[in-house]
Amino acid sequence: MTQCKARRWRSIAMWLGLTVQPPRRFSSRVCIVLIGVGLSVLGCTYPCPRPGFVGIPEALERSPDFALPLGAEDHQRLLGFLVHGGRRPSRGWSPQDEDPGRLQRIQDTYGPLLVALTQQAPTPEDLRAGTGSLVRLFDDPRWLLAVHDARVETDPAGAFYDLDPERARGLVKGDFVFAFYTRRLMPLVVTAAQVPGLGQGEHTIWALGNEQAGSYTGLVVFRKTFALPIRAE
Amino acid sequence: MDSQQLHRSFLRHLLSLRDDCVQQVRLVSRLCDDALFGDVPAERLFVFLPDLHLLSRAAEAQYRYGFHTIEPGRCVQRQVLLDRLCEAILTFRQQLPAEHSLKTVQLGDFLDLWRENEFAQEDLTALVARILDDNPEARGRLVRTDAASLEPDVLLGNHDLKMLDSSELSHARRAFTYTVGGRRALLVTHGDLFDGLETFLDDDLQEWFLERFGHDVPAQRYKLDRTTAQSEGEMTGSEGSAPTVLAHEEEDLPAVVNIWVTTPSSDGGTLANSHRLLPTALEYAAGLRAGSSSHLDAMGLDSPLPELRLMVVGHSHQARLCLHRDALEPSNTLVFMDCGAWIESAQFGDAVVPSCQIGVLCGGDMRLYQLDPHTGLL
Repeated sequence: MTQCKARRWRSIAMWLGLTVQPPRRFSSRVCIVLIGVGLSVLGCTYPCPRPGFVGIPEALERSPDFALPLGAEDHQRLLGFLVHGGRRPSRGWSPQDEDPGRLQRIQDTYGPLLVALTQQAPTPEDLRAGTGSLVRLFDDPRWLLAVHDARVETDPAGAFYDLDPERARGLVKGDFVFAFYTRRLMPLVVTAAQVPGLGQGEHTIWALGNEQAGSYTGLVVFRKTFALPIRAE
Repeated sequence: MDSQQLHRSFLRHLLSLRDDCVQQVRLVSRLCDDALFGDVPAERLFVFLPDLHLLSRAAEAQYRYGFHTIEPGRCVQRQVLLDRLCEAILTFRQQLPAEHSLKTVQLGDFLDLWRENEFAQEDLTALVARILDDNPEARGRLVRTDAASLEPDVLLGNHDLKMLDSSELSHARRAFTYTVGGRRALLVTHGDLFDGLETFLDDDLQEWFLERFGHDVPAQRYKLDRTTAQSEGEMTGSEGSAPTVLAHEEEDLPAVVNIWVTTPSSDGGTLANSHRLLPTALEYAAGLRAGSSSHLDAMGLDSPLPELRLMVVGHSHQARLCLHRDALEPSNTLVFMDCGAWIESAQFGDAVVPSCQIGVLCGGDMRLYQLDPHTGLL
C-alpha cells in the first residue's frame, strides 16, 4: 500500500516536472550497442574464416611456371612479375629501369624468399605448416592452401593431381600466392594427330614433368584475390 | 655496333616496308648529340609508338575521324601498317647482336575510352576487350605476351586512364624511367600532365563533352616542318635542316633536323611556341630532379631523377623535337621529344598524309619518322 502510494506520488511529481524518471540500469539500446561492440572486438581478435584452397588463374594473370631452385634468369623474371604487380614484365625488362624506390619496396618484402628459392627446391619439411623453414618467410606459416589447377586432371594412376597438399600447396606472401608443385608443369604444343579429340591446328596442353621424390620442383605465382584476407593473424 | 650502325640497321627494316605498305619514310626531326648522355656506348635502341586512339568499329563509325578513318568516307588501313611495322621491328630485334637490346614503349592513349560507347552492364575488362576484339592486330602485337608481340611497356594516357582496371591492360603506368648509359636520364610519359587544360578540367567532364559534342569535330592537320631561316648568332628558334624523304639507310643525314631551341632566358610565350607542353614540362623536370613529392606522385614514381635529360611524350599529336639548352648549367638541359600520333594528319609543304609517326632513340641520336601509308591502304 505504501509502495503503491509512493509510485503514484512519484508519477504525479514527474508529470508536474518536479522530478525526472531515473534511468534504467541497462536500457535495451545500451545492451544492443554493447553486444555490437563485443562482436566487433571478437571479429577483430579471432581469425576470420579463411579459404582452404586457391584456384590457379588464367595465363594473363599468373607467372610462368618456374623450375625450382630458381636460376638467375628465372629469379629476374619472377622479380619482374612481382614488381609489375602480378603481370609478366615486357620483353627486355631490366631491374635497372625500375624506379629504385619501388624496386627496394619489393626487395624488402620478397627478397629473402626469392633468395631462399634460388638455393634449393623446398622439401615437404621446408613447407610443413607452422614449423617449416620456408613457410616462416610467408605471412602466416600455419596457413597452407590446397591448390586447384584446372590445367592438370589426373596422374597416371588416375588420382587428381591438384588439391592434394602433398603434391601442390599454396602460401600467401604480401599481395601474392606462391603455389608449389612436386612436379613442374610444362606446356606442350600438340596437334589433333597427336591427341585425338582436339580440333585442327596447334593446341597447348599441360604435362607434368618428372616427379622428384622429396622436393617441390615447380612454382607458379599469382595475385591474391579479394577473397583472401590481406594478412592473416 | 655503335648507335649509328644500330640506327642504320633499324632504318633498313623501316625502308623494307616500302615494298609492301609504306609509300615513303620521312625523317621528321633528328637531334644527334652524344654529349647529352655523356658519350655512352649504345646498348639499347628504343622505339616509341604514340597515340593510337583505338575504338570499336561501332564507336568509330560515330565520329568523323579515328584510327581507321581520315575523314567521313575516306579510310586508311593503319592496322595493316601497324602490323607490318611490328613485324619489321621483331625481325630487327631477332637480328640484334646479344650485347644489344630493343625496348618498345606505347606512349598512352592506346585506346580511346572517352569516345567508346559504354554500356551499363559492361565492366572495364569487357569494354577494353570489345575494342581489342575489333583491333586484333594491335592486341596481337602490343598487348599479348608471346613471340609475335613486341610486348611493349604501355603508358596510361588521359583517354585511357581507366583501362588500369581492366585485366588486359592493368600493367599500364603513368610513367616509365629508363637508364641510358647507367644513368636514369630518360622519362617517358603520355604528356597530359603537362597540359594545363587537361589538368584543370575533370576527366569525366571532358569525356561527357566529347561524347555529346565530339561527333562532328573534324580531324586536325599538323604542320610538322617548322624550319625557318635563322639569322646569324640567334640562339633560339628553329634549328637544323628541313624534314626529308629517306631513300637509303646509308645516306648521310644532318645531325640536326627540324628542331626548336629555347634557353633559360626564353619567356613563357617562346617556350610555348617551341611546344605548348614545354613550360609545364620544364617545371616537372626541375621538380623531378629535386625530388619534389608532388611531381613524383603525379608520375607514380618514388625516387628523384637528378640526371633527367630527355622526356618522351605523345598526347599533342604533333611530332616535334625541342631542345631546352642551358649552357651555364648543362645538367638542366632537357630534350622534349613528342612522337606524334597514329590519328589525324600531318602536313609537309603541300603534302598531307595520314599521321603514322614513331620515335627512335639510340645513344644520343633521337629521330622522329613519318611512315606515309601506301596508296593501296587508302
